[in-house]
Formats: sequence, C-alpha cells, structure tokens
Amino acid sequence: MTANQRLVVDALDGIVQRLRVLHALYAAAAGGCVAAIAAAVALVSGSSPPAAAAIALVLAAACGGVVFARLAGIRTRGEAARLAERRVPAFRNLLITAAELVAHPQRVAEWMRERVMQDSARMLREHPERLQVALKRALALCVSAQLAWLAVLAGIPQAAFSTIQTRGATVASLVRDERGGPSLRVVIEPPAYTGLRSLTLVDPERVEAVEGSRLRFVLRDANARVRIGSTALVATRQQDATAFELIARDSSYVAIEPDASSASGAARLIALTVIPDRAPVIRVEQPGRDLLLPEAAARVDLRARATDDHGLHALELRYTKVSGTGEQFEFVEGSLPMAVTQTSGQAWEGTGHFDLRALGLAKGDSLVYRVVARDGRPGASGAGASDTYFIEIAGPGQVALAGVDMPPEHDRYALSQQMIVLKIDRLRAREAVLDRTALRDEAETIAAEQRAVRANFIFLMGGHVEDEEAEAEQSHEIQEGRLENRARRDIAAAVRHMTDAERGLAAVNTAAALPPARAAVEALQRAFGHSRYILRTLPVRSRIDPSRRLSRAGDISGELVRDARDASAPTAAATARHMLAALMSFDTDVARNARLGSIAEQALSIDPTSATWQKIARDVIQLRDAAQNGAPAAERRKLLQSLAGALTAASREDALAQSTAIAAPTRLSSAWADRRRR
Amino acid sequence: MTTVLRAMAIAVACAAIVDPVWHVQRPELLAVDIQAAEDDDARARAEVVRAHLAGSLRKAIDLSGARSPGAIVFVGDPAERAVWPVDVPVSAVIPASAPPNVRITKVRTPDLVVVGQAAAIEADLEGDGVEGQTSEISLEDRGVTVATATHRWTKPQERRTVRLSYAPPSAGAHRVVVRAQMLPGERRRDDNAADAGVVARDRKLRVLVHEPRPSWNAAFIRRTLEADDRFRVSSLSRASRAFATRDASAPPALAARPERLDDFDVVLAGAPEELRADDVDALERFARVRGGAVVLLPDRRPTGPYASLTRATRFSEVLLENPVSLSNDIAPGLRASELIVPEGLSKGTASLATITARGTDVPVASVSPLGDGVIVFWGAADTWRFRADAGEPFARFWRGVVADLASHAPAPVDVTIDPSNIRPKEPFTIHVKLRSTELREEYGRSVTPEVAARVVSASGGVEEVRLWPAAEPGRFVSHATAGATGKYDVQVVAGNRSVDAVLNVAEEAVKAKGSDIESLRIVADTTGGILTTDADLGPLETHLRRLGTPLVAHTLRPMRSGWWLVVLAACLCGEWAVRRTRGLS
Repeated sequence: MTANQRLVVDALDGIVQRLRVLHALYAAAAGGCVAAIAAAVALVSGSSPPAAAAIALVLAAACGGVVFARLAGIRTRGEAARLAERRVPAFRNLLITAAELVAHPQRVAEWMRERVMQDSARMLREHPERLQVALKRALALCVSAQLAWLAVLAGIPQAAFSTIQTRGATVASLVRDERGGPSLRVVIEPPAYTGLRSLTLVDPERVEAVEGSRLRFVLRDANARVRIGSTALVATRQQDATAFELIARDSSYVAIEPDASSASGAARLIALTVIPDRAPVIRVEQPGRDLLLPEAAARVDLRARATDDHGLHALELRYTKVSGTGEQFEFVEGSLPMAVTQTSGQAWEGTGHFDLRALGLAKGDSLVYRVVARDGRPGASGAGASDTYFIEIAGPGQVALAGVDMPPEHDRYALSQQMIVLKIDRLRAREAVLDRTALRDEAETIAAEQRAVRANFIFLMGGHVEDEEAEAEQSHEIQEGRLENRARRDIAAAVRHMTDAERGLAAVNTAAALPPARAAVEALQRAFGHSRYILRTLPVRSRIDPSRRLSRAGDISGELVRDARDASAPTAAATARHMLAALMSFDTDVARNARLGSIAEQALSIDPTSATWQKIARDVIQLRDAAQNGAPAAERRKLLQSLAGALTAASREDALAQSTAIAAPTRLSSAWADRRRR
Repeated sequence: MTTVLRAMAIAVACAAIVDPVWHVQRPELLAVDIQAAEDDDARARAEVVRAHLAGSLRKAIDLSGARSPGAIVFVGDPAERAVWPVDVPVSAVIPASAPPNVRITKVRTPDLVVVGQAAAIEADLEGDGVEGQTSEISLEDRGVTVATATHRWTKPQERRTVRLSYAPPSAGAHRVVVRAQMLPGERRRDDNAADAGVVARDRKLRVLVHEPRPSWNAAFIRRTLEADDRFRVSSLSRASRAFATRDASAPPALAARPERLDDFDVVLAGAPEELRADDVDALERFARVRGGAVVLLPDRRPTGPYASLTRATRFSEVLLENPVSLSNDIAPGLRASELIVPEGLSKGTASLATITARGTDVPVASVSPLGDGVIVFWGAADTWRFRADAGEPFARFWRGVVADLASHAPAPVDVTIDPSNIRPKEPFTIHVKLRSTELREEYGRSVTPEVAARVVSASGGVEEVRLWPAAEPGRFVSHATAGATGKYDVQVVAGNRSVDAVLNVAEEAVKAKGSDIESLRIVADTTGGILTTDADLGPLETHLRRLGTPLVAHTLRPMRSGWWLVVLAACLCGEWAVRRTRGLS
C-alpha cells in the first residue's frame, strides 16, 4: 500500500469511525424517547417507579440496539466516500473511485490506481475540515432524550402539568371574577394518606372526590347558602368571599342557593361523586387451601398478595388456634409478622410461615388463619382480610396424607356454641366504642351463626316433637328410651337457650344474649358428659323421619301469623315516573321554577354518580333557566321533550309488561270454553 | 130502464154494505235512506252520495224519505251505530283510499292499567300502495314521543296491527296519540293519527299466595312480588297439618269463607295437588264469580281435585338435562328444566309460555277463561332456579304476569267511556259493569243494586244520564253526546259504591279516520248490501238497480170510494127522472 493509498484509507476509516459515534448517539436518543414514553405509560398504569424504570431501560436498550443495527449499512468506506463527495463536490467522484479501488485493487492497472490515489490524497489534504462529521446536534438530542425519561420517572412533567392546571384554573377564576361572571371555586383536598394532590375546579358541573376528601366551596356571593342534600353547610366569611367546607363521605349533590334578593334566585346544583376508598383485597396464594396434616411437625409457608387503590399501610397474618374436643374448645389468638415487598404501585406481596410445633398444636387441634391488611385510613374502615383457611392436625382415628385438602363438606368454620359465647363476649367489650349501625351488623352476624349452630342441633335431633303421642306410635325412639334420656333434655334445653341468645342478638342486646348463650354451653356440656348422645345418634341418622322435620311442640298452637313484608323503597324508575308526571304538568306553565329546581334535586338524589341522572338534572336546570330567561316556546318545548324522553326511558326500567295471552274473558267466551270442556 | 137503474142502485148499496177487500201487488220506486255518521265529514260525503244517486237513478229510487226504506246507504264510522235493521239491505260507503296512503283504522287500549304497568296499545294500520316502504309509528303523550315501532309494508294492500307500549306516569285518564309517519307521496294527512285513552289507577295489586304445603315455586314468586311495592301480597304456607305461617290479611282457609277471596285480584296456588275439593271449589268461585285469576303452580304431575280446573286432558312430565328457554312476550330468557306439559288443551285456551320441541311450539303454561276470571296453569316447575339469570327474567316475568292478571280482574263496579277523548257534540257511550259478586239472587232472579250515572262538568254543571240495562245481567249502557270543550267527570253510583271516569272533550281530539271496514263488511254481507268507496259509486248504483222496483202489496176496498155515492145518486136520480118523463109519480 502506497502512502497516498494509506492516506485515503485512513481518511475514509476516520469518517466511518465518526459515523459510528453519530449513530450511537442517535440510537441512545431514540432509546431515551422510547424510555420516556414507556415510563409514562407504566406510571399511569400504576407501576412503581423502579418497575417503570426497569421497563423503560429494557425498551430503551432494545430500541437503541435496533436503531444502531439498522444504521450499520451506512458505516462503510463506500458510504464514507459518498458522504465526503456530498460535502466536497470538487472531488467529482474521485474519492468514490478511490474507495472502490481500495476495495477492488485488481480492477485497474496499478499506475492508474496510484494516480487516483494521488489525486484523492491531494484533495483530502486540501479540504480536511469539510470531512468532519458533526456530532453536536446528535449529542444534544441524546442528552435531551435521556433527561426526558429520567424526568418522567421523577414525576417532574406530571407535577408541572398539575401546577399549570391549578394555576390556569386560578387565573381563569380571577378573570371570571373580574368580569363579574360565575364565581365558584371548589378546592378538593384528598386525604393525606392517598398522596393525591389538591385540585381547584372553577364553576364545575360536577365534582369527583376520593372518600374523605375535604371540599371547600368558595363563593363570591356573601349571602349565598350551600347545602348538601337537605343539610345546610356552615359558611365561613373570608375577605371577599364565602367558603363552605364539607368532608366527602357519600355521593350526593350540592345545592348553591344565592341570596334571596339576587336577580337569579334559582339554586345551582352540582353533582358530587365520592369515589370510595376500597379496603385492601388480599388473596392467600400459598397454600391457598385448607390443609389436613398428619402431625404438627411441619413448617407451612405462606404467600399472600394484597392490592389497594391508594396504598397499603400494614399486612399481617392472624391466626386462631383451636384446641379441645366436643364443646370444650379453647381458642387462642395471635398474629405473625410477614415480610412485605411492593411489587407495583398498588400491589404488595407478603411472605411468612407457620412453625406448627412452636405454636404448640397437638393432634386434633386446628389453626384458623387469615391475612389482614390495612390501608392508610384511620380506624377499622380501611382493613381487609383474606379468606379464612384451616390447618388441621389429624386426630386419633383420622388418616391424612401430608398436606391433603380437607374434604369440602367439612365444616370449615367449626362453629360451636363456645365460639358464639366468645364472640358475644368480645362484642360486649367493644360495644361502647362501636356506633349503632356497626353494633347491629356484628350482632346480626353472630345471630346468624347462632342460628346455624342451633339448626345443626335441631337437625341432629330430627326436629322438635310436634305430637308426642303420634311420635310414640310411629317411632322406635321412645322404646329405646330416647325421650327418657337426660342428654336429650339437656340438648333441648341448650336449643332453647340458643333461641333466647338469638333473640337477644336480634334485639342488639348483648347483655341479654350472653347468659343464655353460656347456659347453652353448659347444657351441651352436660349432654356430652352424660351419654355422648349426639355421637350415638349420628350412625342411626337414617331413622330420622324427614316428614316430621320442621315440626314443633304440641303445646303451641298451629299457626304463626307473620307481619306483611314491606316492599323495598321506591325504585329509581318509580321516582322517574313521579318526576315525569310532575314535569308533564308544566307543559303550559313551565315558568314555575321552584318546582323545576326540586325536580332537578330529586334527579340527583336518585344516583348522584350516574351520568344519566346528572344529565337529567342538568336538562331540568336548563329548562328552568330557559323559562326564566324568556326563551322561545319552541326551545322550551324541545327541552321538555328531550327531558321527558329521558325520564320515560328511565321509568320503563321496571315497567310491568303485558302479555298478549292474557285478556279479560267475556262471558260468551267462558261459556263456550265451558261447553268445549264438557 | 127504471128497473135497470133501480137494480144498479141496489147493487151499489149492497156492495157498499159488503165492503169487499182486494189484495194486489204493484211495482214501486225503491226507497233509499242515506244515513251519515254524526260528524261533518261524513255528512258532507253523504250529500255527495245523495246527489250522485239522485242524478243517476232518478227513475229507480226514491230519496224523499217519505216511505220506509227498501235500502240503507251508510256513510261514516259504524262504531257510532250499535243497531242495524236486519230486513233492509245496508250498504256502506267508505272513504276512498288514494294510494299511496297509510291510515290508522283503529286503536285498542286496555280498559285499565295500574301505574307502573306498561299498557299494550294496539293500532290497526292499513297500507295502500306503499309496498316496500317502511312506516314509523309513534305514540305521543302531550306531544312527547314515548314509544315507537316500525313496519315494512310488503303487499300492495296490507293490514297490520302494531303494538306500542305506554307506561302512564301517574294515575288518571291519559290521552295519547298514535301517529303514523307520512310516507313519500302520501297526500291524505288526517288519517295518519288517532287518539286513544288510557286510564291508570294507582292501587296496590292484591295477591294471595296459598301453599297447602311449602313450594319452592310459590315461595320464590311470592318473594319476587313482595319486593315490589306495587303488589300487596298475602300468603299462607302450611308446613304441616297443624302448622301454618300466614299474614294477618290472608284467610286461614280457602273454603271456610270463600267470599274473603273477593278482596284479592290474583290467587297463586303452590303445590295445588294438596288442595282439598272444597278449596278447589272456593278457587273456582273466585275465578268464575269474582272474576279473579287463579295461578296453579304445580311441581309434580297434576293429581287430585284441582286437575279439573285445568283445561288439559293429560299431562306429561319432562325433565331436561339442560334448561330451555320459555318463549313468552314478557321476559325473554326465562328458563326451566323441569316441565309439566299440558296436552289436549281445549279450544279457547291461550299459551302463556311455550318451548320449541321438534320444530313446533309446545305450550307449558296456559290461560283459560272460567266465568269472569281465568285459570293459569304454569307447567315450568323450576324457573325459580334460574332467577339470578342476567336481567332477572324470573322476576320480570312474574311481576308482569301477575300485574296483567290483576289489572284484568274486575272491580266491583267498572265504568268505561267509549271513546273517552272526543270532540264537542260527538257521541259517546258509557258502559257500566257490575261484578257478579255485586248481584244477588232472589227467587231465581239476579237482582242488581240501584245504578245511577251523571256527568259533571269542570264548572260544576250536572247532567243526569239514563242508563239502560244491556243483554247481560249487571251490564248497563248509555249513549250521550258531548258538550263543550273540557274535562267531564262521569260519576256512577251503584248501591253504596261510587266510581268515576273521565271524559275529555277537546277540539284537537283525533279519531281513527279509517272506518272499521271489517265490521261494515259484516253488516253489508249479512243484510245483503255492499261495501264500496265514495270514489267508485258504480257498484252501489248497480246494487240498487238490482234491487229493482219492488212489488208493493196493496189492500184495496173499492166500495170505500166516494164516487160510488155519485153512482148511487145518479142511478136513483136517473130512475126518478125516467119515471117522471113517463108521467109516473
């Protein structure tokens, strides 16, 4: 290789090298852009920042690699020569020829090749600066792209957007205020634990807020009144406005009533949609089933997954150890820590294990467990629990393979009267701090369990006795001395006590429920202690006559008069009918605005979160305003028609349909049918 | 000569004493009576017909009206004529249909619905020359469209009944308008709309659920009805011979006092095979006399006394591995897998629900009339199992069926006005129906309580209306003419009960313009007349000509003519004159 040829080759290789760097920068820039988009999508879909970063990096690398590989075709000496030719037209394809001759030297005579190389070298020496490949722009692009995806991950654009939105709304509010137009601002402050930002809405038609948010309605009208439903809010006077605050608990509507002296005396309605903060949802994935173990020597690993809409605060494993037999169960409660890791923005995974030996489980004992999670809300409202699972250690006579499922028909909850007593006792202890509704709910739950226990005993006994003599005639049980059996009397007494306990619970009176529940336990213990009556009757269950089940004692009269059932509250369709009837009466007198306002409120009160009812309320208000502003009759008529159409559709939801097969018979047709029958 | 004259005078005198009678038949002009309905349009059209016939049949017919008619030509709506002569040919002239044209010929509405019930309004339409086009039919309440339907015409001349659903939003009389959209090229507008009246009552539908033994079918239907505040459900469930659970409003036994059932509109009988014979008698009385509906809900093949209430000759039990859909027009999607299929259903029995087996519809539920009421046999024993299906077809079906049955159960006194929306000076008819339970038997005769009616205007003016007994016991009818525009309260007092109905008189009331051609055709066919249009009166001319000049029977008494006195006097005078000229005294 001659000196000229060396110079040409070095120059071309230099250009190729610069192209490689340039392409690398382009690839990095493309990867950065893709990473920014991917990170944004991942964050919006609820992924955690680390997960979003990982996803972004993977996609960025893939995209950059693809771009770099696709550009490989233009990183050759030939392409470098073409690039140089484009930069320096004076080459007149000389450099391209030189590049070709470098690649294929045998194509021309040596003297000719040397001449080409010589001229090329000369030209290269004359224009060295024109052969540089610019990297500054690519470098800037690359840095920008990298900064963009890092900014997305850091949440900078989102925060900026929110700020711009808030400030824009504020500015709009100020502009409107200056113009003297509508002047309502609603400031929504979500609960701190949600991590959501405050938001200001200007003249909104509807407001959506997370449950527990603090809403502040700021009005310029100093004499305005605001109520939520029928409850008036307390006004707080500010420098040039009046503010009303409320805590968003339930979806409803907010009515803003201006000063009575105001020209526009009509109330303004704003639908309030409260987005409930869901309790955490927990699922036990491992073992995820009940276990029947041959001995208590095993270690049982647990894995649970929890999700929550705003964030999990705590995750723990709670268990109840049940030991004992018959009605003499003992219950020991406890909890175990779990190792918690966040898998995404709204999902967590907890792991833990049971050391059965350390828990002191013996043969026949059971462990009832569930995983409990709590979100950031104060109090018990933010708690959720998984399904309850069993781990039972096989007792004497039970054969179990290690870890097999318990048969599904097995009584999973092992309810017993002792457990009922325990639950009533605990409820009594918490009674003072519970509100009436919660107390009633829990009492009703225990009452249902009490009913289940009682039903089991009644079932095992073959029901109460309706007629003792008939019973004696038809059964062998008296002959067997069954009714003389003291155990049966004890069980019957226990059933009666259970009934009393159930009544007490139904009346939400734990004080009245606890003594009979305890008496039932004592009666059952006596029964079991005497002759193990139930165990002996179980094998002969086939003797129980099903036709005499659900009967009752003969000393009670044979009729129970129940109260007539109350139908449910009027449905939305029924309310729609009432509204439609009221609206239709405005056909010729649509100017009675007060009634229209109440109809709009009625619509929102049906379901403030429903888009349909919000639209109906909005249309009613529009109709009212049209009437108030003296809109043409045709326009009012059109509005009325649209509104009536929507209400008609709503009222048809539960309309009772008629059948063509049913018609009032005429006497002639009946007589003819009678005749045909004969 | 004198002898002859004397003999003639004696003969005339004798003939006058005898006064002989002769019967003869003479041909005469056909007397034609052209009658018009009580509306201006009909009267104008009748005059056109009169003028046409007077010109073309001047020497064949007599339009003077002086004689009893030999033929009647009617122009107008036959609904306004309740009675037609049977011995005179009645011909009808209906408005000519100028194709293309769609007209509403009749609108039918249920007598009564309850608020929350969707009334099925049926409109009869007639399409002439609109083949291939689609009509949109709408139902309007105070100008607001509340229901629509479409129909594509497939024949040059086609009649079609369209069903529209209307749920009255409140109690009272509602005027709705059925309107058929004008089609391209259609010129006549006034027959594209027709008024209808729907009367809605806001009352609880009274239902008794009677279970001689616990029945899943009845229990779940009861729960469905109890959850709806439009029903007032009473129930009795007998768990064993000596134990029953019942509402205070439910009778403890059906047979003890059958008249206690009169308070209910519908009785649902679960496990009906457990009903005793006297229970079945009480249910039969409930249907036949009170006019209520009895719904039989068996869960096994019918046996026992109640089987006589069904209209089937035999039953077959069908157990399907997979549930099948029951075709019905209330709640599509209703399913069942345990079926008791009634077979050999007698004529007059309608199918409430069917299944499709081997390409044919097999009824599994039937409705048959019994006296004033109906018996419903429900052979799908386990629809309750599928009550949680999407859209809750079980609940929708049973609420719809029971409401429909209950709304058809007659009140003690029913008053209907036909039509209830009319123009001033148009005729209307008041129908009063007393339920059979309101009649009492005395000495083998049905005795009705005293019934009186009056029309009260909005201004307080009262007009007494005379009610005439109709053919059936307990039915009364009155024909009257509307007064000025306004709402009128038609009050009917029967014994100690008072019932009101509303008559709406408005200038904008629109009647179905198309006459009921079928009823006119029947009248024409049975009396020997013809049906034609006012655009083509040729057939009417031919028909009247064919009737010809009838030979009218006449009774002649020639001796009663006064001329005989002249003859007698002439004879006597001639005889006297002859004798005087002869010089005789």
